[in-house]
Amino acid sequence: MTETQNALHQAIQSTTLRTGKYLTFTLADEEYGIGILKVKEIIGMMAITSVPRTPDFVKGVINLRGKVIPVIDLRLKFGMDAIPYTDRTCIIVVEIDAEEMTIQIGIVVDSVSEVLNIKQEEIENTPSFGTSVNTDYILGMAKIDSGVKILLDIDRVLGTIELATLQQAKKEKDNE
Amino acid sequence: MPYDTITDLVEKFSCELVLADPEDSSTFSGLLPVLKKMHGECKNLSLHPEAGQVIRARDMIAQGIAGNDVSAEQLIASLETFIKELSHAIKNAGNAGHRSKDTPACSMEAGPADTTDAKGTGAPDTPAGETDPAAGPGQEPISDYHADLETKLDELTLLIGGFCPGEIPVLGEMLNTLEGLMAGSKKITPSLFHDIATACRTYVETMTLENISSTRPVEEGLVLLKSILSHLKRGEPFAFDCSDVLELLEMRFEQEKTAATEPSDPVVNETAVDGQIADAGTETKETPAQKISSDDMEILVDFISEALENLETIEVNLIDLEQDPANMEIINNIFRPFHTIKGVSGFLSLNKINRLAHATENLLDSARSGDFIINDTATDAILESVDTLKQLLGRVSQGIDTGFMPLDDDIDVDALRDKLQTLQRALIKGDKELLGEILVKKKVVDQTSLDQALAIQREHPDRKIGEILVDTQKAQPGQVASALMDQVPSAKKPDTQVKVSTRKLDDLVDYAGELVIAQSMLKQKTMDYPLISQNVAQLGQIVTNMQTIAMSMRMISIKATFMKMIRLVRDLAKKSGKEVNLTMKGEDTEIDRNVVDALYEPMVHMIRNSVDHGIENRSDRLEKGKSAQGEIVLRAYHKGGHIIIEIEDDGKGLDREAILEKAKQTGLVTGKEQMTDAQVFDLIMQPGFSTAKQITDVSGRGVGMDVVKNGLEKFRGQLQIASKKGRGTKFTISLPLTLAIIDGMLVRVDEEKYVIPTMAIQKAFKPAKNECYTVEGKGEMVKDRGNLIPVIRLNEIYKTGTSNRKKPVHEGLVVVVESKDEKRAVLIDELLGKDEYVIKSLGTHLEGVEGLAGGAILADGRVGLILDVHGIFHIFGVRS
Repeated sequence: MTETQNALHQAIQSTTLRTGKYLTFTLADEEYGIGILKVKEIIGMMAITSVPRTPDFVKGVINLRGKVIPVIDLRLKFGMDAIPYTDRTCIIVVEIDAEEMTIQIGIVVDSVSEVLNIKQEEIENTPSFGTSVNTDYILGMAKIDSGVKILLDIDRVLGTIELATLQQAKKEKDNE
Repeated sequence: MPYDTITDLVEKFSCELVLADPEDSSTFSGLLPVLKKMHGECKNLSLHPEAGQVIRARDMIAQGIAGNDVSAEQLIASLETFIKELSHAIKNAGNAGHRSKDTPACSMEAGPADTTDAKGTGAPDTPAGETDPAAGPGQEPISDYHADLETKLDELTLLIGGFCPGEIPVLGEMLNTLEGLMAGSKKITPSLFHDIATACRTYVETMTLENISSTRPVEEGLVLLKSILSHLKRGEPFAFDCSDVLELLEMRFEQEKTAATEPSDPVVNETAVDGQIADAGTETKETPAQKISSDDMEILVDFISEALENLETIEVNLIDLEQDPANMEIINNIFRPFHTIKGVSGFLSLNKINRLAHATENLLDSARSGDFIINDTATDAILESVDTLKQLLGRVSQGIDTGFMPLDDDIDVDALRDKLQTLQRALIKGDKELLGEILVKKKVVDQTSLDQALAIQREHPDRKIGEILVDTQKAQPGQVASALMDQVPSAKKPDTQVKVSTRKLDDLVDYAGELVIAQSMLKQKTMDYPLISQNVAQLGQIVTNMQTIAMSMRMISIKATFMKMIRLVRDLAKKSGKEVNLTMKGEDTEIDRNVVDALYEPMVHMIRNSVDHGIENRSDRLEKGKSAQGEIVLRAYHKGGHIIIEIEDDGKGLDREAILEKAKQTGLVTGKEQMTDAQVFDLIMQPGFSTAKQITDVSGRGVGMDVVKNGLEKFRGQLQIASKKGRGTKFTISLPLTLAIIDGMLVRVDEEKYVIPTMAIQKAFKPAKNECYTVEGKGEMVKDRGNLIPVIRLNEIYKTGTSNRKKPVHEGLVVVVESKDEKRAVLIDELLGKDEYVIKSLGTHLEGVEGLAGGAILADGRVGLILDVHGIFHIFGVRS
């Protein structure tokens, strides 16, 4: 198969099935995966300009070759404790589908692990944790030899940012 | 008639190819629909090898458009070969087809006869003889000489295509070919083909003799000949107006010849030709509304959008031309769009558009060749033509909606055409600017010595004024020569333009910015290596230039929009019988092109308001002691990260009482409120509010100002009205420049860096301890020239402060910023510098953050936040 056919095949697979390649990374002791087609690039930690009056998990904005893109800390987004950034800390630049175009967003993760080929039969649906964990943006759980990977629907994870930003702005206003 | 359609398409293609402009790749894309049809036709006729050829041609064009290593000239050349081969192949196939069929003659002849009958045309002068059904045996020779004519035409096309001025041998070949054409066409009736061929030959002769380099008239003639030929082959009457082309061809030598004799010839000629085609013309006009095929639809839609764009360019340029009537570049800019419109409309059989555009083009062509200078009458006529064309285009686009060709009988173009032609003749007779006057203007000679020279000239009429002046040693030969150059201004070739998607431009700007940063880092690292650093410095120069250009590409000056307003004022003033003068200031202010679009409509509304309601009649003005001419001033400038457009008139101003009265009537106010002037004037922006006693067709229906307000609010803009009764009104539009470049001061507050738009900054100073005051121990203020200004701490309202210690005001610097006549002092730690920044959006997620206008890439590659001063005031206001 040629490269394009391959990519096309992947694209079809990822929309119909969950089978496909995932980029895995760690957050605290947990392993997560994002569909590889969503990933634009991985960059090392760089200077982030913080933007006031935004939620905590919005770390700010970075200059990605002349483009200003927002960066969020996935730890904070998931309500985990913040840790100081190390040289293993990475920003994964993902492309998410907005209303009319795709936009780029950087997500800060503890470290990037590897790219895994995960088959449909290895993926289990997300069990319900009641109200304590929001499972809306989890595609499923992949059980493989090296452990369990939580597969994220990154569009949904980041789709909630806008809402959160607005709520934050409102909160600030109410406080004042 | 199976092969006719394809032959027709081949004709059409080669005609368009001749018109194709090597510097404009869009002309090639116009060829694609024809190729598509050709391909379909080839398949229908099961001409598979030919269909393959068509596909190859399409690929060639596609590559050419993409700009892939094929030059446009090469492309045209190879397309010409292609079309030639194809037409031969089809001809052969056609002949073979007829021979193999049982009743070739019948199928040939039944077609055209049917179609003419179906159209209900009496066809009084349908070309008899060669297409007569009875002439069965004569069939072969006729198609033979058609083919012969066609080959000759093809030859001619190639010759013209490859012609460079001064190539006498090529001209000779052209003459030979044309003579062949004339000989071959003698038998054809009506003699139109022969006439045009003769006219072409005469023109080429003139070219040879008089060293004229423009081949345009011959090209026109050629296109015409080709379409006549294709009509002949189908046996249809030729219903296309060709008087223009004939005129164009004859104009040249008539002009030379008629210097002594009366120019009666062209008139006679013209009417003769008109008469000839008149019958044929009316036949087509009376046909019922034609259905538009889906292929045509595509082309039509493209044509209309392009033509409307072209007409806008023309309008803008015409206004420019009024200021500078001899500027060849501007005339060229007006000429070319007309040429395009004419060319395309011809192939789409939009007869009226074609004829009108052609007449206008002719007028401009004469002006272009320096025959005369365009005066006001000519400008008016051209504008009228533009308006009529717009009307006609409107009809066509209606037609696209309904799917049927609309009738446009009610729009008369002939009167206008006559007007243009008369004008052209009248203007040509008029003289150029006199050499003597130019010399006087240039202060080479004074009026008395010129008069002396003129006196000498009267005695010796054969001597030229320049010679006399040089002989009498009043002027140097060099000076006279340069004046002669001025007399016939040389044509400058205007820049060609390319359409590029804004996304690509954005990317280019981004990368250019990155390049600058990368380059400065490289520079730092190579400082110790003199050999390399020299190269790096050179690189830096290039990079900087590149970035400047990249930046400027996104921005356009507001001039074009302002120019349109001049046109508007001109028309409105004429309509209302007032005298209005429009002055522009700051028209070079650059704004993002999206913002320009947002500005247009509101400005039109407000200008209408000013001319119609603001400026008084001449008599009223004189009575009030004002000058007879009303003044409208358009101003544009950047202020506080906004673009401000002011429209100011010196008319009667807003009547506060009348507005209040009307507002009371409509129940907007009770009449008991205490209202400031600004509040009262804001009332006119309420929907349905109008104080105009008289409703004119220009404005006064009370739907003006609220539309303006809504339109501006969509772009986060604002509208302010200031007015003095009897003195005038000033509308101020302010729009944010989301993508514009701004001047900004880079400041540091704690660890954060912010950019404050320079326009908003009044001053920056270090306050002394005794200049700082507090209210209730909290509200801080500084004193500046006796004014107390509240202090804003950015780290407080942004909650970025890390240290708990609140730094006293006098230890830092304060920057006094202004927004909407309010002043605040922003406390900062350090001023880092002033620079130009491109405002970048923070992305959809963070766009709505209050107090931030966007982000900017700083010199160190980090993102700096650009402050929105008004937003900060708002946050501060809410807090305190």
